Amino acid sequence: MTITFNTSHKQFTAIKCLALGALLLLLSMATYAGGRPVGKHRLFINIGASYFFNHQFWDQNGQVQNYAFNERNSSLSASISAEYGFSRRVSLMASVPFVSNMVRSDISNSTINTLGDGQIGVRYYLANIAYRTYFSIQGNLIFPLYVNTAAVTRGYGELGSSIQLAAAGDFNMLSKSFFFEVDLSTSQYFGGDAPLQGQFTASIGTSLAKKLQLSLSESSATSYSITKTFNPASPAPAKDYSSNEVTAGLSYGLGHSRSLSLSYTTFISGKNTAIGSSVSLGYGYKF
Amino acid sequence: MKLKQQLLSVFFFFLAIGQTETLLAQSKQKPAAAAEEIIINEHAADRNSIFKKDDTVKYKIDLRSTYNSQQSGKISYAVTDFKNKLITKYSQPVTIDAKGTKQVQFNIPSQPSGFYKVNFMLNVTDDDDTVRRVFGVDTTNMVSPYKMPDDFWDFWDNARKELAAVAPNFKVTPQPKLSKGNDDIFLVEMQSLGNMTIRAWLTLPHDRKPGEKLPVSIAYPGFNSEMYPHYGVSGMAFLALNIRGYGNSRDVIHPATHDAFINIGVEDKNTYVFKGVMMDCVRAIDFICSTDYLDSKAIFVTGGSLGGYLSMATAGLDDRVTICSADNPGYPDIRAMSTEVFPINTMKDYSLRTGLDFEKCLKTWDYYCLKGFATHIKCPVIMGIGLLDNFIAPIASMAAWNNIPGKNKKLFIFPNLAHEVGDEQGTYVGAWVYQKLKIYDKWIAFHKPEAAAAAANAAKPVVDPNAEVIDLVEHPINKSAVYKSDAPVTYTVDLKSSFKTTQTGKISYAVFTPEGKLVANGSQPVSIEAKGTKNVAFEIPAQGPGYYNLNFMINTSKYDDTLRRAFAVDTNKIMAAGHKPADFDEFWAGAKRELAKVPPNFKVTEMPDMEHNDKVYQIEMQSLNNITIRGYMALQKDLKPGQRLPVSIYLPGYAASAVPLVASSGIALLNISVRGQMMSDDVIKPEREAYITTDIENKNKYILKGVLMDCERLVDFVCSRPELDSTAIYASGASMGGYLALALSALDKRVTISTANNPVFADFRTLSVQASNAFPMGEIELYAKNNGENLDEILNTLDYFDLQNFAPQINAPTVVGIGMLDPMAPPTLSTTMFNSIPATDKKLFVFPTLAHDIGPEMGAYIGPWVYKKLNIWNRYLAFNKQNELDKVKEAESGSESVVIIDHPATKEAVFKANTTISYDVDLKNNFFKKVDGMFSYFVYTSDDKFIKEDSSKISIDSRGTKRVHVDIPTQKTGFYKINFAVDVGDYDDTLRRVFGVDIEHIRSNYPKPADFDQFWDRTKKELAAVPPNFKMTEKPEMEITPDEQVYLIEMQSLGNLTIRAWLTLPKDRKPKDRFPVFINLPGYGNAMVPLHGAPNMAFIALNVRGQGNSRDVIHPEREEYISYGLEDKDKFIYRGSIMDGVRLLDFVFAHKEIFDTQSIFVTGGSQGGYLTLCLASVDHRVTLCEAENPGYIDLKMPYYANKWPTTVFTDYADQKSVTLQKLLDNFEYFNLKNFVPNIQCKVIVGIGLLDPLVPPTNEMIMYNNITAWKKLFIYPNLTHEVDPWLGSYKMKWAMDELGAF
Repeated sequence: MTITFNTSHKQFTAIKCLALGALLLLLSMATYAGGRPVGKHRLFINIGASYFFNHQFWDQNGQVQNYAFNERNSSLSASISAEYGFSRRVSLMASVPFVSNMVRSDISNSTINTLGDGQIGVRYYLANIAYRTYFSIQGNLIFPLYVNTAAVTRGYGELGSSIQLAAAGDFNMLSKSFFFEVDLSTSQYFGGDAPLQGQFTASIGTSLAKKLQLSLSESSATSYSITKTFNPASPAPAKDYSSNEVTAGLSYGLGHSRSLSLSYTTFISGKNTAIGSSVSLGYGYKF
Repeated sequence: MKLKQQLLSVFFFFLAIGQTETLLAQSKQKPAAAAEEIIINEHAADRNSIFKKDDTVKYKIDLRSTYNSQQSGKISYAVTDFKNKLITKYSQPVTIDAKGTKQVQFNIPSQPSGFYKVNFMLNVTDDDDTVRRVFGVDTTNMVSPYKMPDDFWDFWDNARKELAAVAPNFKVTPQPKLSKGNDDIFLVEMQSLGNMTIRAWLTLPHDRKPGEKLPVSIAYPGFNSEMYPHYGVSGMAFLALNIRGYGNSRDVIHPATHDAFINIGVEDKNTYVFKGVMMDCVRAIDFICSTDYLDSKAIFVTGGSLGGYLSMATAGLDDRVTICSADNPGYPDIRAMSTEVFPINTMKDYSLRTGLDFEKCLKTWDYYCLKGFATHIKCPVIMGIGLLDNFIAPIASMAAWNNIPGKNKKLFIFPNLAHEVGDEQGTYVGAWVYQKLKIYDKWIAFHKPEAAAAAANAAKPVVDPNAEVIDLVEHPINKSAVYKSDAPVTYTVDLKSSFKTTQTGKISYAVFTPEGKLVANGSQPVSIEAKGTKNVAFEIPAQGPGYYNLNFMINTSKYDDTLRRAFAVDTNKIMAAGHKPADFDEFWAGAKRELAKVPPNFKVTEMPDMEHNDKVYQIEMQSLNNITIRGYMALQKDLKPGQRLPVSIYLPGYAASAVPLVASSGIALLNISVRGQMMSDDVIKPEREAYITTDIENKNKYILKGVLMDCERLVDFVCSRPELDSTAIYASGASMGGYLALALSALDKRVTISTANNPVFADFRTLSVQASNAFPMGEIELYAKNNGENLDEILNTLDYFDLQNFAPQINAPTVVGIGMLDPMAPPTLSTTMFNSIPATDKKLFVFPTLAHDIGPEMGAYIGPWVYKKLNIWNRYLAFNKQNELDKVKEAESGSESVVIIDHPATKEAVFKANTTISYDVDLKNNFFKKVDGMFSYFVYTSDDKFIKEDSSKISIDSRGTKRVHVDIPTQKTGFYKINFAVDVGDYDDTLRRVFGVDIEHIRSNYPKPADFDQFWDRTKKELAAVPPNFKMTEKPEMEITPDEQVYLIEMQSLGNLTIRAWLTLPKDRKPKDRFPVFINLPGYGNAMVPLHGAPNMAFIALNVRGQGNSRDVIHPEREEYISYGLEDKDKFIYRGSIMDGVRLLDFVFAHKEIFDTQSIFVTGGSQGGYLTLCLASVDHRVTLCEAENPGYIDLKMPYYANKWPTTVFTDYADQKSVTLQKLLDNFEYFNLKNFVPNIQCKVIVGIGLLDPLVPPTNEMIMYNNITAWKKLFIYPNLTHEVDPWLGSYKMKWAMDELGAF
């Protein structure tokens, strides 16, 4: 029972870290490409690390609950993501996450290290407005890089697919230049009660100094499944939940093809999801 | 940036150099007290007293009586010809009240073409007076009745052949004892006709650079004068020629009297002395062309009287003369000149005395008349004449003038002057010479560090190897020679001996205070080997704060010389107690109150004759004591509605006067003559020497009080003008003008910034002790002595005018420049004054080797400083990038207009074939009343053939808008002009627009030369054979941000010419970084400077041959560039210019360790657009390109017949004796439309439909020939420009295409 309880939260955290990793990627890419074409035969690589921590969750009614036995969860995750431009309009996307989940409570401590759900996708830049605002569509295949066992569930353990629409660009306001990115994506996992998920992210940023950029993001996610249950004691991750989180990030240019990003994310509301915060570090390199 | 630099160059160079006045030695005269009189002032209806044929000759006569009683009598005029034969006369009664004025108008009947004397005679109760004047009628058609000999030019061709047979044996000898300051003097000797030795003095600026080719001014002597070395040279060389028989050229011909000179050998045209004289002048030009340090393409000849004759005759004889100016040139038409005055009377006496037939003399002179030489003058020429010239009848001058072919000539006529010309001619010529010879551009090209470095190995001026001297060149530890009081004063002295034997002796130094007290000295033995050099160091003991005179003396058994210099110590600590009167501030507050009571009556009069490419106005205002003050205001011509220009007010020096300045874009230039100076001397007109002492006994009447209030009133004027920005006022001046600028800045807080060159009048009391022999105290003390005035009382007055007392109130940013050797503004006093200025933003330039002068560094500093302080550039941009929208907005805000705003049915005013051309036209009534009238439109073809018009009645309510719809039937392929006109009685206006129909089918009617591609293939092969010798030199001084690194690129291009470009790279790049390349190609005549931009690209700004810093070998004038070498397509400049671009790509590909050679974006505007598309056509290594308003397309089209550049080609064809057709045929190899089918990369093109330089028809001919991916941006309301938006668009486009985000 205890073990199961712990495992479910490891899994729970892993899912959230996946979302954070995607956001990190987005933020670091905003530094250079900013949602604009990566360029023919050019490769963008982002390495991210994140530390997530929580000790409460929202239940299915959105009520804040404490975990039993004063449980505290933390998760250290690392991911590598890349975008390669086949042509000016078409690029290949890929990401691989790795997660180390730690659970501490009054009665037990445990750690599990695991790969997460990998993604591979193709992005197509649909159109642009005066080379300032770009619209793109992206299709992803989600595939588990782990095998669920009876004892440990590391994710849904199912293939999935997602489609993402994005708009990104820059604009001037009050004599200052801003960049923005808006993403709308939907994911469908395969399987009997596989969830249908939707996510919306909006980011805006500006330069604080020549190499330093500040960005603010809001991200909302909803997952729908016929399986409504959310049981902290269950090893299976929630399939029906919603969450809203905000992120503040700083990005710093390290020369002409590299950047470093630092961000802080916190969940502001949700249902069937953890209440946590994370600190993330990213390093982007453009070849 | 480049425009900004152009603005700076023209404006500040003339401020710094053209306006610096010299304070001449003072003679001692005091004006006699005025007796009772009637003053007659006549005003011809024409400013020059030249009337048109059939015009009534109108004069206004102003009479002003100083009598205490009424004066009655008559006033008359009498007109005679120049033989004094009466033609017409008239008189009328006149009565003038006591102390009264009267105006009389005379309408003299029209006269036939000619010059006439007119006398105005006044005969009244107590006074008789006559004013003698001359007027001309229909002078432009005057021709001499005396023909020039048929063999005139054969005679001179033979003379030149004779000269060519004489070996010139040019010899140049340095004259160190005559050299001073920045002037290096050389004696030039040469053999001329008859193997006579002719000498001239050559002045070269000491700061000339190796390899620099200096423009030259040749001055010829006037009659009875000798030429001496010329001083004060900057940016050019000066050759003062003594022709045979003059000055130091009297070895063989040395007439006892100058009068005798004119008759030497007059018996025969071949023996006449002037044949040799003219050849002397030609030989001087031979000399210039023989050197490698004088610019044989920039030769200015000038002189007055005989010198004027020689300069114009030389210009006729020798096409190497670049420009020419002549004051009162002599001998214009000998037979038309009076036999009663010199020189004809001298010749007549000679013939009588020697029994020579006078007619025979005249026959000799027929070969020497200026009117003969004038027929061959091809260069630009300026001539000035005085109508009252007693030596030279104006009709004779006009006969010569009218013989000069072409239109590139300007005549100054001074109706009230005799054998002299007015100051305005000198001022005009000064600016004209600097502009025509591009003196500043050439100077700046060689005084930038990179140009100097590039030319470091070039030949130095030739000096006479036989001269034996030891040159001393001192080097203070820092350039300004300002030391600290706690450290020794360290100097090194370079010794260079030209002796053929070792020189042994000693070298010493001596330091004196300004008062002449010796404070330090020392010496050391020295021995310099034959032709050797030596470096000697001196460590002079530390001195206290102050200025010191320093002499270095060299003494050997065969040579003694002294080098006089000065240095300063702790200038910021040089302070002195002031003598500020307790009521100083109240005194000036009172003066300002007095001024405020005088109604200013500002008056502005346009002066079209004084314009260059600007608008010049005479300004007039009433100042203190109701005295009228006048000056000039120069404004850019294209002032935009609502634009308020920052203002430069230039204040006059002592005995100077206002002159019209050449306007710069973005800033208004004003100057005035203060009271008592020419133009503002109606009431007070002191002699030059007496000016400083005028009413000096009384501080309330002293002239400087009024003078400063005149300056104050000028600021009032600025504040009254809607086109001037009273929040951005820059006051400046030199010498007394510097004093006025600083004092005004203290008195008037409306002055935003000020600068002063060598300001005078600081600390009169100390001046009276230390500089009592120099101006101004020398003059003031002499006045006190001669008039029994108490000097102490005068000094009490002067305390109120002492710059030392004004200085503590100067809070505006201030720059002051002083010369350490200045006797009139001693550096100690100037520095004390400067240290009293409380402004924190202040800068002092100290020039250790200069006297009453400042060095060019200060001008170079002030230019950008003023632009930055007054934000001129941004203000200028604000009104020059918003184009039509601003105009519409501005018009909309007016209340007395009906604004026409057109809305073509398509955004770009381009319609498809077989569609109706539709416009909605908004008519916005800004009147506060209903208006009724007509709206019309007119449609023409692009070559102005009428197609259609229509009109309709309109009625628009007060402040209302009416929309009119215009439909024009389908038109054929092409561009059309459409004019929308509104006429509502009180107001009418026309809006001119262009629209296009089916423009993608516009094609050329002129074929591509069959061998076009072969021509360019051959050209590229020729380039490939030239070793590129790429060189990259880091130029940290050109960097403006810490993140960038700027390099000078040098490479050899077609013809082995050195071509330069600027490369800007990110500083923190890594070895593996490869940057996309952004190449910017230059517009016509533009000098490219380093680009500064995004951090992830390499920016390259190329200066093609003949532009910017690529002008070593080919350096045409701006206007010549387009035609340079066009008579031969293989030598045409653009053949090389296009290859320069190819060579730059070679450079990029040779540096793959820096550049991403798959990502090369090339762009440019106008000529830069042309070069961009040419480059992309001939070299497919270009990845992407963008061209704005590219030109040079189908110049054979009738549209260009009388337009640029065909007009330039026409002149060039004449010059090269080829046909225009030949030039145009050659240009087909450079016709852009013939290049572009070869473009393979993506192209963006931007055009303006109203472009007069490259009409849209031509642009589309070119654009439609592009077969590669292309995109066109059309701006229907713009001329030779594109919307600034395209600038950011193209960058983002390039970033996208190159994947460079």
